[in-house]
Amino acid sequence: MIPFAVDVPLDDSGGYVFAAYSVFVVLVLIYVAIIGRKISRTEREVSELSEIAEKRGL
Amino acid sequence: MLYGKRLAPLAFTAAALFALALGLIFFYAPLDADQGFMQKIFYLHVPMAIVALCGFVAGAIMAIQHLRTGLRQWDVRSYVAIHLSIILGLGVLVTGSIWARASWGHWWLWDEPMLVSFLIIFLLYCCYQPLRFSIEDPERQGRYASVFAITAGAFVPVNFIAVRLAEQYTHPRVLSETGGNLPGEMRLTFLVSLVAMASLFVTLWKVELTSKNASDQLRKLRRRLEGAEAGADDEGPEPPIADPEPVGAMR
Repeated sequence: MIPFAVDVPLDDSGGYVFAAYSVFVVLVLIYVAIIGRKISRTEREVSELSEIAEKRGL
Repeated sequence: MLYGKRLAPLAFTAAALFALALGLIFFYAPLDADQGFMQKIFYLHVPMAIVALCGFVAGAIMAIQHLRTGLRQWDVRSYVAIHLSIILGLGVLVTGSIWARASWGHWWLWDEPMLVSFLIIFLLYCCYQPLRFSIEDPERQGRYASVFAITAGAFVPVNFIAVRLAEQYTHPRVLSETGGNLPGEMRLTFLVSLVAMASLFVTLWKVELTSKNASDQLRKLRRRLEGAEAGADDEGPEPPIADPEPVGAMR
């Protein structure tokens, strides 16, 4: 027994609420994934530049 | 300019506020007498709409700063604010549509002033990125985008005024000068949700600015290294903001 369980109705309204909140979560996750991909590309470029700088003795 | 400062505490605050808001929405706020459980969408949909519209206005204010000062950082800030608001705007339209279907039995109502005016604003801002990326010259790109942002930003308050002046009130009014018709628990939950959404917006805005700033610094560094190799130390002109990726993210 969960003391704070949400009393989600089993009719359509529960499904609509779940759908609305899921849309929001998915949007945020897609956004964060795209930004994460950009950051990892930046990280890769930093290591490339570090290698170039090391080769030149900078 | 370092945008990453204080990003971690900001992200933590946003996450904590969201956890608190969700707790209040599902465990504290009472069920609406008329709509029942489906009214929980209100705590997501309305804060998202308010923050998206405020983001558009903030983008316009930053664009004014860009035109006044000529500093590129204001243009980038304006771009990111508008870009994030478009994403939130998409969320507003989808969640609003779901709520309309649950509440009114229709996915969309064309005679509803709030829905149509928000859609017009959203479509207006959808033109921002194509306009921006159709211009190659970075100076002109920033200037034209700022003029667009200011013009469109001035249009945003019309959204509120038009709805307030409209005779037909199919859309519920929950905030008014007299305090609206929200009981105390619901009002508190709504306000916490609004603050959580605003803090999420600011956090994501800073994250994208930090990422973009790092990319720009890196590009400059690469050019400097290449310039050193070629025996020249000229950085060249400022590059334009890169084309967007899917869902509007910038490189």
